[in-house]
Amino acid sequence: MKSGGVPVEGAYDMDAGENLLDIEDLHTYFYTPEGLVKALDGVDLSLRAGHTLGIVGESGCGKTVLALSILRLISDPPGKIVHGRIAFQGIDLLSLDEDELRSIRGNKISMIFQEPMTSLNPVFTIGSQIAEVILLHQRQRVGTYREAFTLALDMLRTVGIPSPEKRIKDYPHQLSGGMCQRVMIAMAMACKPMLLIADEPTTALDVTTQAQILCLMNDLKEETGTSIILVTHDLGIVAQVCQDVAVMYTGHIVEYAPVGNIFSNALHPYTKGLMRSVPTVRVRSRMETLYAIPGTVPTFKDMPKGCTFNNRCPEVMDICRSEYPGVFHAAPDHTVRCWRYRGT
Amino acid sequence: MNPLLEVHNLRKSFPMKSGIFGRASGFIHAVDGVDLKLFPNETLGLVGESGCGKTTLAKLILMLETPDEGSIIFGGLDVLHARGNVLQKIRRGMQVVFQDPFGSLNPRKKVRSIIEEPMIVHKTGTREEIRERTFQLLDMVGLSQDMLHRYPHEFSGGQRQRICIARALAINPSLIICDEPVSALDVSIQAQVINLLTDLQSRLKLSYLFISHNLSVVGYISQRIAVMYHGRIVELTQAQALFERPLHPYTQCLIEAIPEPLPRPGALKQSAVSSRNHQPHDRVGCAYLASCTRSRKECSQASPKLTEIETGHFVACRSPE
Repeated sequence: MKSGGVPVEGAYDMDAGENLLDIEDLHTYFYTPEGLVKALDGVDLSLRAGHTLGIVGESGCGKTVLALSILRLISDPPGKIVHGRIAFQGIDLLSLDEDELRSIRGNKISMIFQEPMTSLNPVFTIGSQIAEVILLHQRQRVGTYREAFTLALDMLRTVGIPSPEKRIKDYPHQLSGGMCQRVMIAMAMACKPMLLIADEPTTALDVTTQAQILCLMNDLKEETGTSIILVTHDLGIVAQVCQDVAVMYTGHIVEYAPVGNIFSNALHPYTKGLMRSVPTVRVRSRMETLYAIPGTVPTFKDMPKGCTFNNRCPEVMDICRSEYPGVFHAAPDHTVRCWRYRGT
Repeated sequence: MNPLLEVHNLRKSFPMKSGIFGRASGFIHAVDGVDLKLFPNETLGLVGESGCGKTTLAKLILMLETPDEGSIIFGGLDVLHARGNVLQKIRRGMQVVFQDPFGSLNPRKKVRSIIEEPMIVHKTGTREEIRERTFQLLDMVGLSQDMLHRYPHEFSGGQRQRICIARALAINPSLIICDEPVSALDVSIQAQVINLLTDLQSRLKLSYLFISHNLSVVGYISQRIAVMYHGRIVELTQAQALFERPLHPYTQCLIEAIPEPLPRPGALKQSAVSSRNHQPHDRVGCAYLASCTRSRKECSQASPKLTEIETGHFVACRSPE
């Protein structure tokens, strides 16, 4: 499905309840010298407008590939989106050409990367880097560099950087990690995107700074109505900021539910295992050993047949060793890919 | 009970170089008068944000850095003035597990020579004995014997950390300093390594100095926790008490900032904002002064001493709550 070119400015309004993003049966493969790596192997996902969706999973489960696939930032070769559909406001992102994509990237969908220090260009001031984004995407609205610079200053103020007039002329190395992440957020939010993809935005930061950044993202979401996809491995963060949660394992979304359901009624054995392996002082006080999921995440070379979790699963059944489970609905908005819930 | 490790008034500062001639324009006081006691078979957690001096403190204890001032007593021996045999004995007694399991193993060496090296250096036995011990160590950390002839790059992060632990255990130390040993690992692997560490502790009667920025991990594994801020210990108490009744405003701020894995709408605390000031403070007053909500006039005049407020609960604050 190809839409009639680039959507017009201001055509954002949609019917309430419609999904901002719909991903259907997405397969992203990497053709490496060692063999075929199925980084995403049939991902279905939808994001409602104004919601925050958390994508949780361990390293190597395909979280980042999913985030990059949405923006079509997978480098080809070795990577390739071989199958699927990514519909953003009804436009199939996979059918757009480079020019059309460029009008969406950084403008309607923007991204925050994990390491703020390395994602900023060290030879330009932070002000000019933010202004560049604005000039590139908002030519109709912003004519001159000076105007863009003023807007950049406003953005720095919005993200809570102290004395932005001075800071705007700073280079990235003059700022701390937390401040750099704020600059990244300012840059990502500069064009008031409809969708913000944040890939582990706080992993490199201290807890107190992390709390500030999460608060900031929440506030911006409330103000602008931007939807957020938050990729993280920290279940605590998910509980604090997300409305919906997708748990990923070996390129599949194994469980998808509203945040309350995930924490009160996790169904997939992997989700349950993840929940129980988070250490807290309270667990220790009851003198329990910390639960650990046995084994490690399989690599593409030793991927088990059938359900890919069967070699670590405490509730494994015969069928799990032969066939990968389909999507079962445990509740209208709670899906799980586990044979245990076949009947539901 | 005699402490295994006793650190008294330890100080270390690094010059801040500036200009083309690299003259020292000031000093960073990384460790600024730290007192600590670590008892046998105990885990002492050390938490604080990046840059607060945790790792420098670990390096000082391990003699990888020379302190400017202070004393370190390990097993009754003065570490800083030890030479020759005594120094060897001290070094045998403490080992370290580093944060990054990818950077702390020599990529050109096989697992076997990595684990054997400390035993060869310290001459703990004959070739045969060392071989035997290597097998035993592998078994202890949950690796199989056929892994001996592989190189580090063939292992996952969790397995590498197990190799690091095996290497640290090789010469039977009584103290292991764990500098962020699980920070680079995934949640499920992290749980495996934490369980391994606690299991080894109860079997071998080890002591750990467990350094981490993750309060939940430290809270789980430690008996006592020391909170560090700007090179100083600001609170030191039993793990349980620290979480239930934190007294220092900085500790309270840290605990509030932990994202709880329990969804509660609006639970994310705005109060965590502005916990850390980056300006090097003048060292006269309390280091936390700029961010403190309970500061008094005296706080800017002299830095508070670490005092025992309740039994076993030490706080460096004039108005603890």
